[in-house]
Amino acid sequence: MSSGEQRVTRILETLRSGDDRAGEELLPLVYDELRALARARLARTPPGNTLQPTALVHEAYMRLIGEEDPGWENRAHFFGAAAQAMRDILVEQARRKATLKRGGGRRAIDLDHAEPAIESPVIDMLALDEALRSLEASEPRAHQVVMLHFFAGLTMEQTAQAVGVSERTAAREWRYARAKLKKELDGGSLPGVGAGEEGEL
Amino acid sequence: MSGAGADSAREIFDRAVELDAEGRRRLLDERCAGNMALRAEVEELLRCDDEMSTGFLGADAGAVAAASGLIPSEDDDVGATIGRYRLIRRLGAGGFGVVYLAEQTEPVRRSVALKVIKLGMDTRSVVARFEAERQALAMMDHPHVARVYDAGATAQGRPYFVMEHVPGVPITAHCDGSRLDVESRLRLFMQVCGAVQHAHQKGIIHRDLKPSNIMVTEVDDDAEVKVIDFGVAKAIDTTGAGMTRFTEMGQVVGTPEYMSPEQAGAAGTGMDVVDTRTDIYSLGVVLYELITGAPPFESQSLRPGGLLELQRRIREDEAPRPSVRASSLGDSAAEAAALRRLEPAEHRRLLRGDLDWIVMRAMEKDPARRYASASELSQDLERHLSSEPVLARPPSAGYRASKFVRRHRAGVAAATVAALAMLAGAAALTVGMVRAVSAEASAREARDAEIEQRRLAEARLIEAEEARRRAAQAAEETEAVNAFLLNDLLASVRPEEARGRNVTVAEALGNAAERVGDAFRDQPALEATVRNAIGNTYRSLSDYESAVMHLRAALELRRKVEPVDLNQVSFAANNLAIVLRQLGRLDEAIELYHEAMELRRAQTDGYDADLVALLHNYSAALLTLNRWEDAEQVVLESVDGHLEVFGEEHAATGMTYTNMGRVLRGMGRHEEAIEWFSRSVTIMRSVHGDDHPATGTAVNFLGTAYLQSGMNEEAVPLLEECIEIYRRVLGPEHISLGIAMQHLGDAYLRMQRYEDAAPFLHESHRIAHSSLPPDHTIARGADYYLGQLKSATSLYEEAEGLFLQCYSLTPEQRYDTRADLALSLTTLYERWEREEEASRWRERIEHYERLQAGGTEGDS
Repeated sequence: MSSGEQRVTRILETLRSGDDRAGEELLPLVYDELRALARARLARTPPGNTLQPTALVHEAYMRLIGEEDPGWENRAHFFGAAAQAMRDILVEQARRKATLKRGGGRRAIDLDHAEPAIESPVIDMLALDEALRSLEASEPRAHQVVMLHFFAGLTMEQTAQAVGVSERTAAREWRYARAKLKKELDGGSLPGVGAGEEGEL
Repeated sequence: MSGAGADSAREIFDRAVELDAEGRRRLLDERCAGNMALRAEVEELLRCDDEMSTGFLGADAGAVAAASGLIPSEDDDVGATIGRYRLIRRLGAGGFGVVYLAEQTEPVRRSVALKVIKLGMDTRSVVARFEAERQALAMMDHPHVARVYDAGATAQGRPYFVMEHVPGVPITAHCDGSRLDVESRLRLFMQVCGAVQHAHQKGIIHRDLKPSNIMVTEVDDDAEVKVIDFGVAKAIDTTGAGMTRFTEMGQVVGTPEYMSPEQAGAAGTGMDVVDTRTDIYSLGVVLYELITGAPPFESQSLRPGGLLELQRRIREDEAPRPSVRASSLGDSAAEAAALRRLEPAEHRRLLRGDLDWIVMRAMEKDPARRYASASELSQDLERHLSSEPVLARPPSAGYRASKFVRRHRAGVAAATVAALAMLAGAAALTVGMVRAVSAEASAREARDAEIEQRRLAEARLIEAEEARRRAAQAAEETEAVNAFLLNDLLASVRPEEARGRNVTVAEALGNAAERVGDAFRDQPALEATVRNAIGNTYRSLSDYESAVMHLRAALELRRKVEPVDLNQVSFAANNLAIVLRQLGRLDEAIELYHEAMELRRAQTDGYDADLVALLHNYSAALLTLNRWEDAEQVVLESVDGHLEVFGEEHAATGMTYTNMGRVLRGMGRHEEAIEWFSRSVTIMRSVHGDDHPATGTAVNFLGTAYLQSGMNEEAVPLLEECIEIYRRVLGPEHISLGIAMQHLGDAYLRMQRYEDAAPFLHESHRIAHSSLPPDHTIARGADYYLGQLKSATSLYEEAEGLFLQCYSLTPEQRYDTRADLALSLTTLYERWEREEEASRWRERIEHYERLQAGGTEGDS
């Protein structure tokens, strides 16, 4: 059992006993794990390729929690933290790219800290971050659904369970949130993510 | 929450996304009237929503993540060339290997999809088998068939296939992504049938039809089907029986749910059992999933070691019918229905019947019993869509019963036959017209009874659904029960036995009831099932005493069965309680509801449709007894449960809201009651539309609640609307119409608008007295209100006659009603200036008020 895994297990134990403060410890832990994981994966990935953020979250879950079933409530805590961590990472990545484009901050990038290219949605992450903030203020539940479904990659069913609503309600929140975010982002140029051609063998 | 503007934009948006373009326009016209900013905001949101169903934020990030390998494959060779093809990028990966988008330069320049099969196959024989079929494949020329161009071996010796590049998504993903309704799904599926039919005519069998091989591309707003991978399965399938789906570890790597029974049976035997009817089976499974929301046998439950178990299930287990499957989807039922723009109950109803039988025919275990061709399947769907009778037929008891009846038509009365066929088929019985419950029922109770009847009808549907589900689980049991019903029940109406008499349902039932104990000696579970069916049939015939006898026996039997099936016990208890309630034996009913509820709770943590129906019935019984505090507890739970199971936009939820309102009204909390009644009205309007008795009833409750709070101005338009609805949907003689008219007349009397009140009170009086005995509470109410009108408009003699008649028919113990009448008469004689009579009646007021204060039973 890795030390990270032990710590997460302990934090989840604490959460189970009803101490919500333990949740705050979870975020940095998951964040570090996700970044480390992304770096490690990328080292073995040919240049130009990217990693799926949600797949990373799931792998982090497997590493930190493993086979043990921590119960739904705790799983919800984990994915809540993971979603936030993934969003932070993507925003950082976007911010760094923006800085690079403007030609500044070159010194800040050295090889050790070269961030893994996690496949960012083909949208303006910074604008999305902004839009999410305003969504969180006006429709906290819709925001929560986006975090869990989009950034942590939970299925709609799992998202609904984590939020504690029916699947139908979760789907409704998701649909509204998507439209609302798109509307906010539409001010800028938004190429949209191609659905991608999926050919399965 | 932000300001009111944003809130209502959200609300309107949530409703609008469920509607088509025309519905959206109407909703916006109605809800955004005069508020252009709001309208613009909602329209913008809807536009964004439309654009996004395929793009922005992905359709389902989770699913994509789950399906994609996190680690790119080691020999990911984008940019490399294979044969004449240059790999451009990876399109996806699956159990067999990797698919690339590739560019062909010679002899023509085009984009193609190139599939490289993973190592472990005998490349030479794969390519050889492909070559053998290449001629036939080349002859396929159909808009919905993707062409297969080439096959070969890579430098590493792995086989690859080159085919038309189809930029699209699997048919299931397309349908759900676009939230296609069932008809659109059927239309799309018929394109698939066309493609498969074409291939079959050219002698090509697909062998591996499944959603991921049926792609949909959008061409100029039209959805086009392309069936891919023709010829591939055969080439790589060494056994001809789908064995390549399993690796040497025995792990299921493909999608075995679509495999036919003959493929499952021959797996590993090396026999090639596949013919065109194998594809028909797989088409049936795809159709099943498209309309239901899930395949018949779930693969998630299949463990790696469970391969044999899977094969066994595909070979032997009868798949649940789509409508049954849809109702057993649990939490995802609502989502599955919503993806088809339906409510869960509508979804089940839509699948029941034709579509059930069409799918099951395509999926027959015996290939000879399936549709002979894909076009035959397609034609049956076309018949269904144009409401013509379909070829597929239910192999049910009801069907056998109907054949029996055809053979013996002469001696069997039509009604008898219908009832027996329903009984045998466990079909839902339509609940008859509203009956006045008992002479002493209050006006309110009569209205409750009407709601109850409807509730009952719904409960019957749930019950029938339940019966079907159980039947599907225990085919053996069904067989035994049906055999009994056919032999002992229908046999008794054989022409030779009936000897020309008109055998009634009751008679036939009586015969069956006598024999049931002997027929199922030592088989308590079967006896319980039959007794339940008999009891419910008695109930629908309004023979409540006999119904109670059989339903109670069924309950006792269920308690005795080892091991005890708590669900069955609770089911039986609920059935018995329904009848006891109709008999007015409320205390017994409540006890049973309580028991049934506890049993249900011991079974499951959450709510399900059964439990919430139970809660609703339970609360209704408590309400009838005016046990407000107890009722409140149960209704609160019932509301929670309904919201969880059905969501807010559902008729059943609306009815629990009504019950909540009734509880609060009973507790004197009128303002809160009005709130719940209004919410119920909103729901009923949106679920049933304005022209529905349930909407009328909800409107009536709201209107009378306003009336009781003295808010006459608010009450009038609602009561008027209720009368309009009742007149249209229930007809001009219906007692509910009479009651609603009484309320409206009452409102006008309170507002001293006597001319407006007159027509309603006269008409209500006529309706009540033409269909009810004069001492019925509603008939007496009609006298009372008409009397008030006459008294107020100086028609003293008429008023006197009405009041006195009413008084003499009112039971002595109804102190409150009698006090009220004494007051009315006192006022009348005062107006009439007949002091002597006035003072006599004044004394009676005091007399009855004293009795009332004495704490004896009151008539609220």
